[in-house]
Amino acid sequence: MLEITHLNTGYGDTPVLHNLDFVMNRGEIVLVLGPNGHGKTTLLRTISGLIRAWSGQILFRGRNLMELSPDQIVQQGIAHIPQGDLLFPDLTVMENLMMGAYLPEAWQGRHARLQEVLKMFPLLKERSSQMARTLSGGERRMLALGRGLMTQASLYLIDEPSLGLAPMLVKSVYEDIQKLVKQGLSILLVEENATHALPLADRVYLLEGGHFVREGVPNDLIDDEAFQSAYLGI
Amino acid sequence: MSASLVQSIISGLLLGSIYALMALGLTLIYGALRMLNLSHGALFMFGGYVAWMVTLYLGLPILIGLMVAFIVVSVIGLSLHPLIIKPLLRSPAWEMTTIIATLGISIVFENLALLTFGPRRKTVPPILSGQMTIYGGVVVTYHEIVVAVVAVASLVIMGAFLRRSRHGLAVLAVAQNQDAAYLMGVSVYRIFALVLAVSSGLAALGGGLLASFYFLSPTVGGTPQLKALLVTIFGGLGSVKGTVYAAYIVGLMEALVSLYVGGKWALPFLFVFMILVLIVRPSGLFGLSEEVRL
Repeated sequence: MLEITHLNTGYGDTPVLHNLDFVMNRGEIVLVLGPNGHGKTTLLRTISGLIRAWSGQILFRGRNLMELSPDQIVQQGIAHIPQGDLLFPDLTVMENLMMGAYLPEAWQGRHARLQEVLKMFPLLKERSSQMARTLSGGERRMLALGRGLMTQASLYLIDEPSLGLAPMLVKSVYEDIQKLVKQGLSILLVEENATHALPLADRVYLLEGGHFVREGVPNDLIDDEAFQSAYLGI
Repeated sequence: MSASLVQSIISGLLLGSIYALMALGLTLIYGALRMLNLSHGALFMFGGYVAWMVTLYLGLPILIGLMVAFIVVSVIGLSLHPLIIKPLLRSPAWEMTTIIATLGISIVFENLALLTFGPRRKTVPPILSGQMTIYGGVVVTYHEIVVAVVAVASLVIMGAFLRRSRHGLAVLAVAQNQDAAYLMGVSVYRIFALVLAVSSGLAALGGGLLASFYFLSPTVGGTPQLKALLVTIFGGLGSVKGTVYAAYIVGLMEALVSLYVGGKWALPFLFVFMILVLIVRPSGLFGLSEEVRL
């Protein structure tokens, strides 16, 4: 479904990602783990076109994304749930959700979709007429997930959903993500801490210093001592 | 309440409605593009001329004239997309260069009008003649009522468009968070064009409605643009809600100062008041937080 070959990119003259190769199949939950500042967010922003790739290839269902603008990439069926949420602060919760269904096809089915999303996240219903800027950190994250779901995309890029949340909230955000997983969606999840994310993943990539240093299934990694101390804090 | 007070409150609300119409266009453009459009006054002027020509030469009712003005001036406003936005988009100091560029465009527009329509001022008849007396000798002309109704109706339609429709929400979304708008699949360039067209259309409506209060001349847009700027800065550049509130505050204040202190004091008073507001609230009543654009 998503195939990245020899991807290089960076900011200005500074390279960030080096020669990345990555494959993801339909229905898979793939986890990219890595310390902060090692290129995880850059990888997602490059896939969704917010950052231009320098070289390499990003194929999504056979289509080269590098020729497309960010809005065209979204039209291919990729939903990016960004780090720090990037909500629309002066739109209400409801309007934020509606913006998720901006593309014509999603807009057609927005009311039915909205009911599903609100069933999944009942709290958003209570908050529906509040401005997004008045939400708490956990609620914002929930809204970002809900808005992502409104897009009816086929691939979801989720950027560090636990960032900046208290441990208890992290747990509840991951319960929310679990709901997405149960829907059988294809998810590319990026995280710094493996504790909550690892049990969900089908496969894991480790991204360090802009290189993929390892790739495998969670069970292989869990037995690895270096991995345990770096990502599970054991 | 004395009749003169009622009279000036009515005229304040009328002024407010028109300022809101003018300023809404400015604030939408600033919100979406972070561009202070100094050709807004010239678009206002075109609106006046188009509405005037349609009614005078084609003999059509003024409401049709206003609609035609809206459409024609929207197209003129769209020309800013290839003239200014495309060439300057990637250049540094976007806000400064676009101020200069739109000022330049407005000079071109004014001189085009001078060439086309000549320097002679045109008197425009009121939309409806006649008047009615309400509340102890307070006189309201039918023309004023039409102006107020059209202005308020346009504001309501704009509000519904921005909050309810797909593209309207996208306009607000681009203003609030451009990257997030991209991630929703919004083609930001197209929204720029949409905002330019709508904003120019609103300026044209203002021009058409006010044409009979002023004489039409190529430079007629100067004062309305100044007032609209004052309103947008006071309300908070980029904030739709703030702009509408500010428009009515400014309109009422202008009318009351004219009544109690004298007409020539209205503008100085407004400027002093605006300076005071900006000292306390640098981004206006409901201003967007400062943000780097593009």
